[in-house]
Amino acid sequence: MTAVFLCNDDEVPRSAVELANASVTVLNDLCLNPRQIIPMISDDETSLVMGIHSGAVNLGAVQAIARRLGWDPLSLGVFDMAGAVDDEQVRLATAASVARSSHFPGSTPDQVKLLPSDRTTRRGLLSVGAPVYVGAPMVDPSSCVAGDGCRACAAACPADALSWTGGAIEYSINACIACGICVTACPIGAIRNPSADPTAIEAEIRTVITESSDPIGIRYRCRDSQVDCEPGWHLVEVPCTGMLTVGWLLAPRFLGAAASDAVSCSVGGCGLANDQRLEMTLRDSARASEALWSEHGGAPELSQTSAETVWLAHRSTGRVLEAAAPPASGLAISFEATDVGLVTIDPTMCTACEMCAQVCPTDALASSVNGSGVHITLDPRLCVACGQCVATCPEVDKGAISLSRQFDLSEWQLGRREVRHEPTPLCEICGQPVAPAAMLSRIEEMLGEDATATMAMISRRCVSCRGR
Amino acid sequence: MTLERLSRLRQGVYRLFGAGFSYPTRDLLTAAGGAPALFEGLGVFDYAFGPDVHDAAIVLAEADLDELSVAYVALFEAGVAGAACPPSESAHRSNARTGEVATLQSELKRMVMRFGLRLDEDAEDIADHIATEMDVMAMLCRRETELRSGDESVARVLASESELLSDHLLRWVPGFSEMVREADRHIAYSTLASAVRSLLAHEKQLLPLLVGESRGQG
Repeated sequence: MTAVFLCNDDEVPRSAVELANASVTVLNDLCLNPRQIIPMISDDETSLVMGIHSGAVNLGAVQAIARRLGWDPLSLGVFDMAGAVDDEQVRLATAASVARSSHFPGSTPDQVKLLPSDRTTRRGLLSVGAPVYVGAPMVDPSSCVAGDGCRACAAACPADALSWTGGAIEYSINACIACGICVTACPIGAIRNPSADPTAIEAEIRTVITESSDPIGIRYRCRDSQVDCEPGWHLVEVPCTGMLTVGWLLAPRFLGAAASDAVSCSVGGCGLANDQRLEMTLRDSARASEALWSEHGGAPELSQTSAETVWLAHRSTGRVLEAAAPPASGLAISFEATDVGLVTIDPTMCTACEMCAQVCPTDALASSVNGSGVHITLDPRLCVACGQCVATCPEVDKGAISLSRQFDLSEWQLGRREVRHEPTPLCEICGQPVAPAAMLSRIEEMLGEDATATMAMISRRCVSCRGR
Repeated sequence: MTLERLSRLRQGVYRLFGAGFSYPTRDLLTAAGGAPALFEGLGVFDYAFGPDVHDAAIVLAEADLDELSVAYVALFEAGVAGAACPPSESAHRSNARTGEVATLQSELKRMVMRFGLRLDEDAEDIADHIATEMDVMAMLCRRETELRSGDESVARVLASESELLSDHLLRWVPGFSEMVREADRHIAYSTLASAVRSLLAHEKQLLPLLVGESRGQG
């Protein structure tokens, strides 16, 4: 059961708000005296949602109340009633906050970021009241693939809070701005931020769509933005709209929303280029929407509608596009910046050295060696266009490998398949593969004419048997 | 006023940890009994570490002295191959055979002297014990409180706190507290370990902000 408290400091009656899984209480002066809720909490209530007027309440004080009640303050659902225009918006915002709060994944002490207050003054740090905290990311070292060469989070972080140092991704919570960009940048979902949990955010979106009696749009907004909710829209708070992907923007449409978009927190630029990042994503999203609507001749229908599917989980863009595209359409969309890629290998230039497969963080490219040679396979579903394969390929200057940011349904439908096969001569002593024939040819080409003896040795014997 | 209250709270919390990681006595349990109300009065729930610290004080106060003593010895003093969770920095950061233990302890003693403090004779040999380091931090917070109440500059004492935190506490206490939590020998020590981890994670963020603020005092 969720305890819901709504401030009654305006003229809109809140008595109509009733939810099955929550006890709703409307209080006068809630914003001015949030502590009045403490004695009202009962034992069967396990989470807290508050509808307040953001300009009138100290969020730090509200978080302190949650702590005192034994709840994680980051699980607190707080929504601004000042921007709500009618009872219906308040009802939807309440239901959405309850859903998101009840899906809160929990946090650890390392995932709590102390937010310096804008109101901090020379003599007055923290003197404005209890400090405000937000969720901070944490990298799961057991699943992180930075050791294989992935730097997606460090490359995406606008605050240089993530870096590759000493054989691991190092994280500085003091440099971090808790924007959540690393969460969606990580190709394998190894970064968790309790304030940007895809499952909780999707639960909010699904609830709003289900509960709304009229068509409703989903509008993502930055944590720090002060946007009023327009009629027909529901605001979904994310740490920073720079973290959004095309998948995050499209998924609400396919879940039943009438529209979806996002607003940045800044007017003149956020200083970290996150607003520019959002603009590119919005352009890519518009491109994808146009293509999908055109293929369908109307609103797309999802081929998978399971309630268990979390569409906002990592690598969401491709999954959403695949589910929304007509199966026989051969839909192909080129993107500017989004996280869907297609790798092409030129067999006439590739030496089958396997470097691309070794650094691929998602195993979209994989390789194996058997008696018939080296086999490199590609599963386009797993490619996030990180570019590691291209950056690592020793023959990239010759065009051995290329990457384009595009979704191609026909490629996805093929699934994993072989994109390169190169025979390998077998060792004359042990019978194991020596090296790909193309690689041996390339070495011979580099060594020149005087390499006959060397080539005779390295092409007949494997590394283990060369000294014998 | 709020910053003074915060330094008083931090002083109390470090003092609790200093006492909590010392050999348990009746006085310790009595003092811990008064800590929750004291902390609450100082606004402990305003801070992310609040609930963990509050819980630790309550669990410590309610612990049975004999059981606590047995657990203390098992965790921090005895054992076939030494203590299960050695409570000294040198055990976690240095190699005894190369003389690093003595070097680290000397470094700590010099640092404490630089801070204008002096270790008791009893603490001389355990300068790197967690209880000693926590007590030193508590003393620095106490000085910070005094300076703040007199409206004097706290920049220097905050620099000392930052040095102790980043050069020593953060380098080994999180790992040590994880060992204590995993050993799970007594709920009081497991809770204390969670609380100290929570506090230090918060201190890592708070102290740079306080230092920045003190520089702005001009």
